[in-house]
Amino acid sequence: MRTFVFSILFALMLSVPALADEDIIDKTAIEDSAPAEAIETVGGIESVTDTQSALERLWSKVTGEVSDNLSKVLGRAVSVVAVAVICGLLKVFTAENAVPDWCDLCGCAAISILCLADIGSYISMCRSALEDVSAFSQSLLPALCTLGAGSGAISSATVKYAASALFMDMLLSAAVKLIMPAVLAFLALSVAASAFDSKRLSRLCKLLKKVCVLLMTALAIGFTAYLGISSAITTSADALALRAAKTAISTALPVVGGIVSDAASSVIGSAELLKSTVGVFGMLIIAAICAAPFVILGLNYLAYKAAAAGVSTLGSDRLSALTDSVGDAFGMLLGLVGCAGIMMFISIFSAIKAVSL
Amino acid sequence: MNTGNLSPWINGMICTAVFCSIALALTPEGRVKNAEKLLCGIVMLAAIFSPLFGFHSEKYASEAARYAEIGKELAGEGSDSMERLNRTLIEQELCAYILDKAESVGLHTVSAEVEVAWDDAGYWYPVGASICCDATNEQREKLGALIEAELGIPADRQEWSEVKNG
Repeated sequence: MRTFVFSILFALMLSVPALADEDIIDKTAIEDSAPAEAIETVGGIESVTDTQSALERLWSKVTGEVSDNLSKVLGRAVSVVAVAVICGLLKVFTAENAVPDWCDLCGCAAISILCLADIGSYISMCRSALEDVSAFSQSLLPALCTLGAGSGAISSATVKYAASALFMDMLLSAAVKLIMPAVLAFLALSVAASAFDSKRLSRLCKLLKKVCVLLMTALAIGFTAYLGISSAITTSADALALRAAKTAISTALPVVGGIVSDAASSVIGSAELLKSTVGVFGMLIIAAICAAPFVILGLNYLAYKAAAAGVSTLGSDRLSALTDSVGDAFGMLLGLVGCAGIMMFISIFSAIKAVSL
Repeated sequence: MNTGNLSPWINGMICTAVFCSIALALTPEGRVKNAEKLLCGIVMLAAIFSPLFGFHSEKYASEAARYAEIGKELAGEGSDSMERLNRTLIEQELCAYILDKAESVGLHTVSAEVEVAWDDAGYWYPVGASICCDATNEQREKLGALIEAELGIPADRQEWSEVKNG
């Protein structure tokens, strides 16, 4: 009879996570807010226990993107170098002061057409990735906050949610209203600076680039510092509160204290388990969303930087500067996607690593 | 590409650049042109950084407060849900404990329900119990004493009933 009673008791305890699932968060809503492609790569929240498979699928997606885009990107970089070679040959076979400026001007025009014809699609891809991250964060962050509070970290969960949501909002606004337009303006000014060999426009380009990089850096550092400091303060307060509650429980009647303490530990444990599961799912989804843009923008960045180095050895500083600027533009877009991904990773990791008993 | 947000700023920059270029081209060389170059430079910088002038810090302050309120609500919901779960689990474990103690005093057909209340110190504690069993007075007294001593439920808060047959 005693065995039967304890079996019933353990069965009831094992049912706690299921109770936590239905009562606390809506897992379907979190999965629905993720892009379909990302869900296909990562799987649902339930399949997070098999992280190895999800990571393998993610890796094969990354390698797939590399192989799909590598030839196109390399082809474009080779075309840029070919334009520089043609301009160089024209300068060699013409009289010294005959048409060098027209040569470089035509070279700039050719490189602009080659590199910037589909820049709009890359900016759209970057914007789409940021919007997907933002939309997913609007389901994930509240769930992590709820579960964090459920596991005893009430103050820190509130602070982390507020900080993460606000900074993601600020990043998306800054990206759409400032950084992406600045990248387009940077490219336009770079083309003009190279075409007309204007030092003034070159300096303006550098200023725009510095402003964009500074803005992204300021957002990332500001977010990390705010989250770190506020988490340190509130996590200590939550830990003290939990310890005080545990002490109060333990000093009550011994039997009751033991039961209450064990029940609290089980409930908090199940909330933390669910929070870790949801957190890992969130990280995988963010990685899946950012993987393709990161790979494509990264390949373009590296290819144009390599092409700029190649062009500079051919003696055309203006064409080299223009190619380098195109690479910088891709670098800024890459930084933007990376910034969003890193900020979300930090938010999720911080939420998972909240106070525990 | 959706240029809805980009057009006003880019158009502004382009118009400013074109206007400054025309103005500089029409101005003869001299001190006037130097002053004009300085002015055009300032105007171009203002055009480039015009989005920053539209930055409303109070908007972000109110957003921060809004997110903090939302965070408090979410944390409250999470905390309440877990407290409900905690209460349910404690009630079930206390019932199981009473059943185990009933077994030890020789009672086999027992069902129990425990009522818990919230203590200001931050935990649920038992305040009443309903036990349904076929017990002799001696068994009832023994079990009642165990419940009072170990769970802190006084005798006047223990309700006893008999198992109904058929």
